[in-house]
Amino acid sequence: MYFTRPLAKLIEEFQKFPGVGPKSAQRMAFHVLSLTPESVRELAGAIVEAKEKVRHCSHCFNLSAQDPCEICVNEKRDRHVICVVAEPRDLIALERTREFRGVYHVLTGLISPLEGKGPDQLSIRELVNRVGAEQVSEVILAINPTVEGDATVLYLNHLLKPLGVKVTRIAFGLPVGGDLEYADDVTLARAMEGRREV
Amino acid sequence: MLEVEQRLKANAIEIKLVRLRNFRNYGAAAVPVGAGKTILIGENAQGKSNFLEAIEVAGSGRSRRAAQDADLIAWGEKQMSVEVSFRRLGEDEQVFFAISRQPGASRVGGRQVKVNGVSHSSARALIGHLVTVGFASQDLNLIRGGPAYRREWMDGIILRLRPSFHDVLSSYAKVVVQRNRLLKTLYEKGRVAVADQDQLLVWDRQLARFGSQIVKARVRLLTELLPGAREFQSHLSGQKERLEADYVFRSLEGREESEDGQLLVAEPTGRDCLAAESLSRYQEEEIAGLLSRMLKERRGEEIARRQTLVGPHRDDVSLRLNGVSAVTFASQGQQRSLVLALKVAELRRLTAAAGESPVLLLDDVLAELDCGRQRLLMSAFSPQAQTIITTTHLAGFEPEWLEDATIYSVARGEVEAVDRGRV
Ligand SMILES: [Zn+2]
Repeated sequence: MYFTRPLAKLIEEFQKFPGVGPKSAQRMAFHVLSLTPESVRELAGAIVEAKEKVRHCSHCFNLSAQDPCEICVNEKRDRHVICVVAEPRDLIALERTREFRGVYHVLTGLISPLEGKGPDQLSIRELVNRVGAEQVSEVILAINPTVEGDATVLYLNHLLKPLGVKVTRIAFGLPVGGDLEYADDVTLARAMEGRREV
Repeated sequence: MLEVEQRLKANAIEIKLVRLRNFRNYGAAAVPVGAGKTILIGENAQGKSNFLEAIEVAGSGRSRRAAQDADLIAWGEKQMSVEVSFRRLGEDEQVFFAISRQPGASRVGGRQVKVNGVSHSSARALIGHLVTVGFASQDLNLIRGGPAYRREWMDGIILRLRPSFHDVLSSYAKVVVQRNRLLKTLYEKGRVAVADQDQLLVWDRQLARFGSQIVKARVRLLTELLPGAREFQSHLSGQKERLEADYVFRSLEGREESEDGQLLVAEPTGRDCLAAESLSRYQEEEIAGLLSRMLKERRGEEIARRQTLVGPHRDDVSLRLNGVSAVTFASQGQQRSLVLALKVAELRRLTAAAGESPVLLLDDVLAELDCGRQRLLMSAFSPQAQTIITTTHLAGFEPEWLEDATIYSVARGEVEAVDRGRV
């Protein structure tokens, strides 16, 4: 198929986005062409501004336009409880629940030798320093139950336990409204592991 | 009366229809399969074995024969699919599996998995529905081949008994890959710092956790299969041969003695292997402990070789007849009997678990068996079992195999019904 050079270039750029195939990239590019010049400038500006202004909070490694981030400076948050997540998007998911009133620490990934990620490539040292320096009573690990997630949890537990802090991991189990009968064995086994007294 | 009849009929999983599209040398084919025996007759390389392979692929999402999934797609085609309609426990079911070639790559792209019309993201969903037991002449590799054949055999049976075992296997495989990469990084760094030591320990624990589950499952399977296989082998040999099986931790190979192998020294059988029956007494945690100790012992070597040397991905089963290794000392005939005995044990175990007989796929093996063994094989499965047999000729078949059999001829990927009168 033939596209004039600038259009082809735009399609190519969109196709580099995660989860975007050639067809969606085309649709997105044609959508851009259908916009008014002002809207296109706004879009381009938003992309540039986001990239320039958003960075990792030097304290918790969350993404934010300010440093320390909004959560770290919020007086109402409980600093004695740190919830550890792999990525900023996990933090956003937890924030949506409005259940957690403590502070966060974003690891910026999980231990994965295949991706060249060891403890030094993650913000693990900073976490240990925080726990050592601040009066932290509990560290909650909100980390996915994958092979890499489990490895990271084991590693963190090994480092944090000697500091005398309570280390917990969020439970994994059945989805709300889910049916026991239709849950797969792995989910059930996990739910069994994470059971608690009622 | 009717109810009794129906229950009797529900004694076997029964394939009704197999639909193939661009599977290996097939174009579009829809082959009705009758109850009881179906015989596919044809020259070599016409597609008989491919037909059985397609059924196995639909039942498990993977092939034991293909080096890569793309091999399953007919030459020059983009996509292949297999759909099998069957009856299981008195209900109509259907499994569908399709894979498509990625443009310009030998790897396959999209997979489509459907069980009873419902799409699933993983081929894992197929496991446990269309349960089959395959027996081909290559199965002699169970005795003569390398350890990988025996591991695959055991893991394949466990998967059909317990589909969730798939997650244990795939988690374990991921741990091994991650750990190997870490070993490589440590090797390249040239020295192991405390932080590296800690990281390695984390992967050791994961390896021991999933590894012990695999070892335990295999050992349990062996103890379940042994009585049946032993009985059959004894029968085939005129009560002369006793079959035994040891689980072999290949990571201990070549060791005269293990330093502190608490679990090991308790065993009279020796250093690197344990009789499956005595090993079965140990709990998962004890096996995990053993794996951890072995990992510790071989740490230096593992880094030097940049490879995980300990764990069930290297283990083996040692089969012995009257105390001597079947691989090394058994005659060709004894080895053939032994494969048959193992396969019969597999069939019985799966039948017991499923509450009905799996579909039996006999790929070009009957003609190789003498009459006595053919009859014994026949007696080993329920008369209701659906059996699909491939062969190049009917000569040498015991008459029972031909009774009420539906016969097809297979030539160049075309399946055609054969008029019984002309056979
Ligand atoms: Zn922050």
